[in-house]
Amino acid sequence: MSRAALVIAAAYGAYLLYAFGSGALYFYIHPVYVIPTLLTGLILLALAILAARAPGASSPHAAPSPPAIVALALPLALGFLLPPQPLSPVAAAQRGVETASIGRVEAPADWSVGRRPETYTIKDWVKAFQADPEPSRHAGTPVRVSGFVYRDERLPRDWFLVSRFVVQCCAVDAQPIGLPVRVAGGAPPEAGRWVAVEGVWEVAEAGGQRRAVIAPTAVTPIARPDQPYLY
Amino acid sequence: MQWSARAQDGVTIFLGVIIEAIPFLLLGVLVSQALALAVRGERLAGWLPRGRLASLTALAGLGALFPVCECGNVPVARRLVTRGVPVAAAMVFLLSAPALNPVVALSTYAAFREQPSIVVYRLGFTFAVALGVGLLLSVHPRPAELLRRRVATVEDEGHASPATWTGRLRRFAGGALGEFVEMGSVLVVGAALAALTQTLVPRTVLLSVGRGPVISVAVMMTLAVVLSICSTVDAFVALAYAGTFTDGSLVAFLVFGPMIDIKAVLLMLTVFSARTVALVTIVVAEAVFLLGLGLNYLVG
Repeated sequence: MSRAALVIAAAYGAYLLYAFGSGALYFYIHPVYVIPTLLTGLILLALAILAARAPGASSPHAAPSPPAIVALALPLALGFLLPPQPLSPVAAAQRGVETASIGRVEAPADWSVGRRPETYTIKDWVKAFQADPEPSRHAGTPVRVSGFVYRDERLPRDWFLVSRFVVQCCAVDAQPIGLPVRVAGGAPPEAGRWVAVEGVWEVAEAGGQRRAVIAPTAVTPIARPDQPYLY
Repeated sequence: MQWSARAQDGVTIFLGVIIEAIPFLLLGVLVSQALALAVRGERLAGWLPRGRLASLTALAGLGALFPVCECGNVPVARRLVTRGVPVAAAMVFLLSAPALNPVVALSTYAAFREQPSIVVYRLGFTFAVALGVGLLLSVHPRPAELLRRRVATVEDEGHASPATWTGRLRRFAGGALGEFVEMGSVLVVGAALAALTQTLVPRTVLLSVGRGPVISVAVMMTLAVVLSICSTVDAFVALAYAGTFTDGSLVAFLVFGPMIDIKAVLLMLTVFSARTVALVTIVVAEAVFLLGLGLNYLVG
């Protein structure tokens, strides 16, 4: 067991604990993996302590090569030194924000039983429109959601999407989804800002298509939530 | 702003892949080290059935006992090879284990409850392709040449294991961490490539191409390689394309991704020779492509 390998393994253990403690794990992975990741950090540190006391040169593993050490140090440097950030609206543009039905959001028949529409998340609304795509049947229903502002070129100038990433596993599979909002006569908030949107659904024309859109009574800037993704 | 945000997204994806993979990587090396402690010498090879087909099938089944991602399987496969398991059988294990296990079957079913046939095709095709590649490699006259030259010599298991429990535990820890660091450096490179392609190549570019029965299979297979998503969760991602892409292309994505992606290939290169990895990649790609086309034309 070489010193370098030991230090690297311990540093990874420490990094996982740091990412857990700082709340940054929620920017990277699904909450279901948070506890396994914490345990992994603890196990890595425990193994490093055990291995440090092992009689020297008992391991068949050669010391890691200098390029391997550089490669392994890179994520540690990025993770420890840069302020952790969730995926940005630029990534949303890259991936294309889904506004209508999104396949992976399942909508079992009884998903909304006993829930008031004001408590729906953006993902719940996507499910609701998947279960019943007819815009007029949602008209007048109250909406209260929060997300970041995304400007879609294909929508009219006074429309924006209030958006979130849906994460299944980790940031690599994050899929942005969004609900259209029409600020009639006004300018949409700056792209990328986090906002809380309150209003009701109404039916409008966009690009020659009848669509449901939120007519807001209030669009309030808010701080980015600690868990910015939906699951 | 655009570019700094893009760089930041790249970092987030990069760290996301690494953080997501580390627990599976650790689980894999722990299983690998436990195997090293529990199984001495050539014994494991002795446990396997004698016949060629039977031993390859047994190894495909062994994969079912290790519900870990491809990054966790490579250390196990490497251990198998150094323990005297035939090279072809180790490759069967490596190809089948990521997708042919209970966790993946369950997550795929959860994603495709409406289309359980997708689960059946995924497991069946994975088994068939892995076994086919194994049979192909098993006819090689000098199997040792299929391996990377160093792998056979790097493991020195000759010395006696420490008598005490703590001694054994310390050695276990040292071995696991050594293997963890070795595999980890490759994982970092794979994660970097996955993050770079995901931030620099717009997904829409890949997607706008793929609607036809042939091109959709090619596109989804490419996507599987580019995304390098863990096999326990890739079914949910495939589901995002369920409305627009052909069934054959979805199955191809689910079968091909766990076997061949950037991360898996880099890890495979630590055990097998570059020629073997290239051959296996080509054969698997062709087989999965044809199976995907078959589904689209004959069933879908």
